[in-house]
Amino acid sequence: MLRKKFFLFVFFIILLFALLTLQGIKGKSRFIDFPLYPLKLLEQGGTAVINSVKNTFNSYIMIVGKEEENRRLADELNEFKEAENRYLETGLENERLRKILQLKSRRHDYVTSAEVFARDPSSWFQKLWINKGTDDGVERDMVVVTSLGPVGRIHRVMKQGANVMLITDVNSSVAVRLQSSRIEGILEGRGDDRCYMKYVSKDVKVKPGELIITSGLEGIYPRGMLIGYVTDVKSEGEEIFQLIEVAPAQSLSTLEEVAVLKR
Amino acid sequence: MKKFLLYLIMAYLALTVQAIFFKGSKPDFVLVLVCFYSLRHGDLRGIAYGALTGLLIDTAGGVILGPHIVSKSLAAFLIWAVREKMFQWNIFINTVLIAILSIVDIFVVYICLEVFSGVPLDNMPIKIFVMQVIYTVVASVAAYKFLKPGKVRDMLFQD
Repeated sequence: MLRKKFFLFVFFIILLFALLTLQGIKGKSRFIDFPLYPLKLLEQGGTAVINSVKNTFNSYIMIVGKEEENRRLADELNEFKEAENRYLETGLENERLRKILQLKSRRHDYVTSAEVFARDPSSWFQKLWINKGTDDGVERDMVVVTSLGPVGRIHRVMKQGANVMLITDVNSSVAVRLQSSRIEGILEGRGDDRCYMKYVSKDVKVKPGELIITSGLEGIYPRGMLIGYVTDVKSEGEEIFQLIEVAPAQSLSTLEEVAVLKR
Repeated sequence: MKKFLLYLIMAYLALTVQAIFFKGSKPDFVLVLVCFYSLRHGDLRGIAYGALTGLLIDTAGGVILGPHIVSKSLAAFLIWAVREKMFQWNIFINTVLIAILSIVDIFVVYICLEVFSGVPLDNMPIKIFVMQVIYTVVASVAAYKFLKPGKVRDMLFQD
């Protein structure tokens, strides 16, 4: 019995490998997006709950030591704090949206602004989903930015959503240069919250803290945008090039609103 | 149908927790779920559910068919095959097996990504995978009490 099932399983795995090969040969195929909707709802709801709990906890920490007063005014204070949190959240959201909208007036290549609705649940990729797709003019390889600089590029597009490959993803490569010395290199994602700048000769002196900007040479990212800063430099061994560790200019794990720019 | 829906809800919840609470290195709660489900229901059904959850992970990553469909069905098959050969099952065996399966899962995904997608994974620091295995093992220990096989009356996925 085990033997029969084993052969069935082997057949299933071979079939999967054949389909994976076919998918690899065909390139990008039609994407089925309906399994994403429950994830979208759960992640949005989950994030809202976490933010609410975080805000309430912070509010509580602020009023520790005033138990007597707190007990007396607990109801009023809670309501006030809740309203304050709502106000604060709205204010912060407005601020972020205002910065995104400033991009619209500043840049001729602005396509649309979008909200982040889900993230990749595995450790393998640094990708996220935004709520704008082909219906809003979003296309593959368009650049995704915030007011602080580029965060990634469009990897896959659906009608009302798109998958963004962050600059920290292992598949991501960006043509960059060191701002002060103008030396060029390639910024590759590492799969966590850092990148590596590669192909910089050991003769070039690079210091931690040095800023890195896009060079625009790969034809995707606009040139001159701040993308990160040097955190560590490794130049030991027999290699011709040094390995420069780079931290993105902004936290990519807390992105909420982004703008999409043309290539 | 009820069982299928319950499983689907739990898989989606596991994926949501992974995506929201963890940045960088993430635990594989889905692997824990697949293993426990396969232990309970065994053979082809376990594999089918493993494949389904693998498909969900791949979809969330922006592809239709990806490495997780292979790795999760393999995990379901392996844990069921080991269970068949065992006289007893306890938390120690369970934890060791999940640790091994977690490493196998990473290895299978790595191979599939290298072979079928040509994804350059040499930049990835090993600590991402080490942390993933540790998180997953901790999750399996925590979940053992609620999901352990053999406890028919109170089990979550009751037949």
